[in-house]
Amino acid sequence: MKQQIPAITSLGETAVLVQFDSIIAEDLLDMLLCIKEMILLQKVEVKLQVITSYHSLLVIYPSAIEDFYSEKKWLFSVVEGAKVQKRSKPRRLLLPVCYDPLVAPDLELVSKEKKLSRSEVISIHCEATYRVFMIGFLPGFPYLGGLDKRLEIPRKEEPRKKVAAGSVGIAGLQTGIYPRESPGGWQIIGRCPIPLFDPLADPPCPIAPGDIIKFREISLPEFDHIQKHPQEQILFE
Amino acid sequence: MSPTGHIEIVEPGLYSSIQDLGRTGYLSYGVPIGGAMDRYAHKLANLYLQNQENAATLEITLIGPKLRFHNETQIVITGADLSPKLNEEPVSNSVVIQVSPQDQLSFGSAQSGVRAYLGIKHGFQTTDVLGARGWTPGITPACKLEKGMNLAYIPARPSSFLHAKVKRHAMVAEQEIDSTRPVGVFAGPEFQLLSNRERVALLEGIYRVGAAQDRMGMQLEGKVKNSLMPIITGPVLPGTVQLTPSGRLIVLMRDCQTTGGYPRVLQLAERGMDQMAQKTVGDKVHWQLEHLERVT
Repeated sequence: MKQQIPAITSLGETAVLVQFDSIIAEDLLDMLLCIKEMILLQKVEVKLQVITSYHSLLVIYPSAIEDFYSEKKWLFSVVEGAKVQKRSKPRRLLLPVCYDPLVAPDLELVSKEKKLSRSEVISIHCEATYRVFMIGFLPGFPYLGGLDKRLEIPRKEEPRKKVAAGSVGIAGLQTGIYPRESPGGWQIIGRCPIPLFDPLADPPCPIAPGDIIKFREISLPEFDHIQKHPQEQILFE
Repeated sequence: MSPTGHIEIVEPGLYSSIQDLGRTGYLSYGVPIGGAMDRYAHKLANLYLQNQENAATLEITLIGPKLRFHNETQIVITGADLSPKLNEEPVSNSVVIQVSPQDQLSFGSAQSGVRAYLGIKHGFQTTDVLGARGWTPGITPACKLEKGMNLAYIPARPSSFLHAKVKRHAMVAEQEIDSTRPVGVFAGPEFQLLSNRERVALLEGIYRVGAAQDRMGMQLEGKVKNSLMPIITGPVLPGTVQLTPSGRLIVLMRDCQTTGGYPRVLQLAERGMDQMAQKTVGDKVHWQLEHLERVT
């Protein structure tokens, strides 16, 4: 990765934004996650919160920052340190997805639009390896980068008022999963029976930014079975 | 101490919810921070009662509920003046009140502000979910008061102690809800991308709170013509002011999402967030740019 110097700016009285050039890339994601880890390790005593996204991370302090100069100076040094830091190995997860027409309302449309058979769409979606770039929009909604260009398709012009919980969508070069029923504009090509957000669990979400995700096709009966027995193991390495 | 006391919800009012200072540590999973819209008023209520600042209060929006206490305790109301009454007798904000079993608290018309906070000795004992007791749709089982619901609390014996310092503090607080005062803001990450003319238009504009406003965000009426491109989705915070391509301003509030794709042109000061929490549809909004520091 080319040597980048991020912009480090305050966001209000309690937060500092570290933003790199607008490049969505896996090595930048790894770098951001490494910076996040170092920030949390180096200031364990301060209850900092860090959100990472595609090309930036936000450090949120528990109260107003008194000395921005020294915080920014420290963050610059963390970024420098992260460039030579050994990256920790991401987790790999295998998620079951049912692509049955009953739970995949846009599979037909995608297939027609992209001039691919339904089974080709499914195998292209299952062959790729994805990275969780961030979780946002809804609690537990993972933004997965790495969608095959052959499936690139814009969002719906009019978002659906109701997308079912577990729906697997594609939009642009991303794929994602709706953790709960919500309005949504992504093209829905399948459904995942694993609950992705449980506020009573800690952590509330089995997926975290940085994880590597692969999908495997399951049938409708398997979908029903897993939904009834959600303890199904999803970690595969 | 166990929550053996409870309040019965006789009438739920418009939108009342239990709030505290929000959730920390779950932003990476997309969990909103949440918490009291007007943190200052929330904390003030707790200060009167000598609670922890994070003790849960009841945030009451415009039309208050009717509540019946089943056990003795002390309460205080801060924030908006919603004409509170105890057993049909008017009571004042910022005064600690000893309540007895069967006492009824109700509210009348909104005299000033939008959100009042009902503090209770030791705080409301609603279930802790992900480290906070405050209600957020999609996170906690309840998101607003419903008729017939019960709110648990720890009963408290009468106490007449009220610190003089707290009283003075209250006088400052009462002056604070003034919808004509400008809202303090800082430049946001994409402010620099605006042209000089756009910056002036943004900062000198007078806006009104639009109909789309809730605990997640407030849309403002009054357009800021701009040529900004959408940004790569990035982190947002409560208080982030987004500018849409059509020129609309969206002020993100406590229950907002954790990421967004519209340019973040301003960031409200902490006090500015509290001011916005006391505004409703049609209220005027204008900004006052503040500077944190010169080193950028």
